[in-house]
Amino acid sequence: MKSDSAARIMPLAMVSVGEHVRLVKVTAGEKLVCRLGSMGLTPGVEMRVLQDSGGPKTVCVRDSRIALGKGVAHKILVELI
Amino acid sequence: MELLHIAIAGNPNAGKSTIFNALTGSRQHVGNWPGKTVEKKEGVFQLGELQVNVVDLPGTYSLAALSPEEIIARDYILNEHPDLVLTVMDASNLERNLYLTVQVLELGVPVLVMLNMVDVAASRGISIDVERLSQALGSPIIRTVASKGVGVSELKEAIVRYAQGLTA
Repeated sequence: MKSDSAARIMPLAMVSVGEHVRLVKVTAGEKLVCRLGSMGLTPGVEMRVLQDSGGPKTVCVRDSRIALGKGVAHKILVELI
Repeated sequence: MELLHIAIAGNPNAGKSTIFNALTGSRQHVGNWPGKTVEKKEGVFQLGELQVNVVDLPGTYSLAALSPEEIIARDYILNEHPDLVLTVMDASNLERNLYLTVQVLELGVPVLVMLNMVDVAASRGISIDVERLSQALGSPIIRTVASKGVGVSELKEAIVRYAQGLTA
């Protein structure tokens, strides 16, 4: 069960357009964790990838659209739902 | 003549500059670059006998003081002691916008909440129980569509009422 859910965890950077995911963890420093948190990106929140231009990604979180750079998207761990 | 000092705080693109312009009537460009209000914008307007000085604070998502904008906004509210802080919330992104408003309320300063872009929220099927929200926040709420001037006269009336409450 545990390994099952661990297998589904991946960086947001690898999620394709249209997929629904749940935020598991932001693996970054306090500054980025706080900054993303204040924009609504907190553990457990659900989001959907709206756009992916190969670099930045646009996601829909809590009725807001937020654009995230590739580096940041790599630091956000999510699970598919 | 009486003088009132107010500051406008809110998320980027919530409509702070639009409300600032609607109040002061100054011709400033309101663009769509997130976080563009990094400089300090000040304006003055007259409400009868009352002269109101307004400062448009930089758009921030929090007051955590992690970015220059957040430091400017936090320090201004804490050090300059404005008589009233207007927090502007984008009604169509209420959940995210509430975070900053609650942080401003937690500073213990007098707050007047603007629920802006209620037309956009309505078009997305979002209806907001303003009375309950006002009770929960313990602060008056004014509904506005700043880009169309809706609610601006109500805002001015609320500012006058607040100023009268100070002197009474």
